[in-house]
Amino acid sequence: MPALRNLWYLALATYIEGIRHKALWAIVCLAIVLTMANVFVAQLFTWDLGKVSVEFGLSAVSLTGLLLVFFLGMKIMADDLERNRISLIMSRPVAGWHYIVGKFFGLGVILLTAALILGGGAVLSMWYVTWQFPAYVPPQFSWLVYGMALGSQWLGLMMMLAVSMLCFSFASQPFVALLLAVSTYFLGQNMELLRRVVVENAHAGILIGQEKVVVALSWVFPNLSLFDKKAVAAYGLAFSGQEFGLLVLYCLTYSALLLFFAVQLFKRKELA
Amino acid sequence: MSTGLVRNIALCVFLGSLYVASYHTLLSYRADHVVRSQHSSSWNLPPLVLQVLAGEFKGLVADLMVLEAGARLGTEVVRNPQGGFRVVPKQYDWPTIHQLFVGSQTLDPAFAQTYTLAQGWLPWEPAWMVAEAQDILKIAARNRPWDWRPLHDMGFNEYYFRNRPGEAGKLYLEAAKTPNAPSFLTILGSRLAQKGGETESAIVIMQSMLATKDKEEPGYADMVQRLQALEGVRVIEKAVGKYEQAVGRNPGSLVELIASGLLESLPSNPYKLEYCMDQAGIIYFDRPDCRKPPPGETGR
Repeated sequence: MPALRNLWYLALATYIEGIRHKALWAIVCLAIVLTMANVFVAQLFTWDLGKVSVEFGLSAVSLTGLLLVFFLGMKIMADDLERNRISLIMSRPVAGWHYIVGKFFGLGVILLTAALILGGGAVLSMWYVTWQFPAYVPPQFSWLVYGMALGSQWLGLMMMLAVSMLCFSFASQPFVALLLAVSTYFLGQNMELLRRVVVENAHAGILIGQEKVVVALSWVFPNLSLFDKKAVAAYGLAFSGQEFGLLVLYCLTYSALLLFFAVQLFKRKELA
Repeated sequence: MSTGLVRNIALCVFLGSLYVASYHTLLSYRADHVVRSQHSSSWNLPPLVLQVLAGEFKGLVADLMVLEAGARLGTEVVRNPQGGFRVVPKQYDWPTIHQLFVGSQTLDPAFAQTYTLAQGWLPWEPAWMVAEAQDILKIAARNRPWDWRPLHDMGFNEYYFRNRPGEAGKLYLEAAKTPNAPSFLTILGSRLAQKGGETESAIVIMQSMLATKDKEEPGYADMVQRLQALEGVRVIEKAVGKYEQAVGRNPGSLVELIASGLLESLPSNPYKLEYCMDQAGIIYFDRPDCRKPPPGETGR
């Protein structure tokens, strides 16, 4: 299967390039610093130390993941364009979709590695809190829910990665692609809130009567707030396997759709 | 000296002067406005805007806001003009502090630090923000179904600050329904509810709680005893009600009530004490000398 082989090599090359940017080493250092900071920050509080530790740890995963998507991911793609490596790749028997999907998988594995390293640090600091201050950990706290929340964070990052691939595929400049991706992130984080405000609130001001537009937008933009399970993990609230499965499905289908559009637009992109 | 060097020195002096002047002005401005900036709050935003700005980091921002609120409370060390230092209470800006609590709770309605700190400061002198504290505790209680303390604190505020024992008792009894709640809440709640004229509610809540408890559980026997006492109070209260309808006033004492024939005899008290009715017509099962003012009561 030449297509699979191409995807594999492109993903591997992207992953190795990510490591060559030394970003992962920076993340390892960040994980160590954040783990120590986490223990210190949690002790600034008198109650719910476990909650603070979980929120801090998972927020660190999110923030680092976003930085990787917006800067490392975009930079790798932009470098391909600016250094004309993309022409070198496309001159071989590699289709446009091989390039987009291969890059997506390679960057996705970088995100996974980063999430595992930072998640490991977050788990260590939470373990310290549960060991030292068991009375200040919510009674329903569950490591399984914690792991699922971490997985949800990664799924959300994968969706953002798909968004940034789409932006890259049609934007004339990498900086424009970055701006579009960041704007989409902010919209995606607040899409659920906006939808709820308009649909459930009769006093939504200028948004009254725009319910259909907002609902339509909530289908176009990624609903990233659904993947934010920090509070759920922090308080050990209910997070069913079914919901997690649906999140995986949502991530897969939305990302696949975006990658499809990205491939179509990429074919029309001026590469020279 | 060459012309170029002179020009460079002049330019350097000119730029240096500009820098010194501008930095000095900035420092002076900050010194003049330090009080104003201490008491203003960049967090004073509508809840919806806060949620939008915090994005997926709502929990972290909530932590930060509650730390900010904490930093505005307590005491601070100030320099004496004559030398040395002294500890003084901070100048509290209660609306801002309250806003910080509200903002923190908007972002993370289940955070214990927010409601505990709010309860520790808002209802007390000099803030006297009992209603605001109750609102914060109510949201916390709704979002922390595993935690009995928000309802307990609400009950305390109703009793201590608002002098509403009936409401306090109902809240204590609600708190007692929480898993792992201490058993004293039931006893205290029923006591306060009955004192506040909520005997019927206290009985119903206690019956529902007993129905879900195991007889072997610690505190079960105490609850049964308290329920029996409350049922005795209810029997007497009903008779007092009939007396009021018939005579148009409270009976002067329980002896007078029995003499009227509306109550055959006083029900049995599981605490082996005499029931007592005070001047206001409140029935007690645990204060046989209720007509005397309790020692040390100041009437707050």
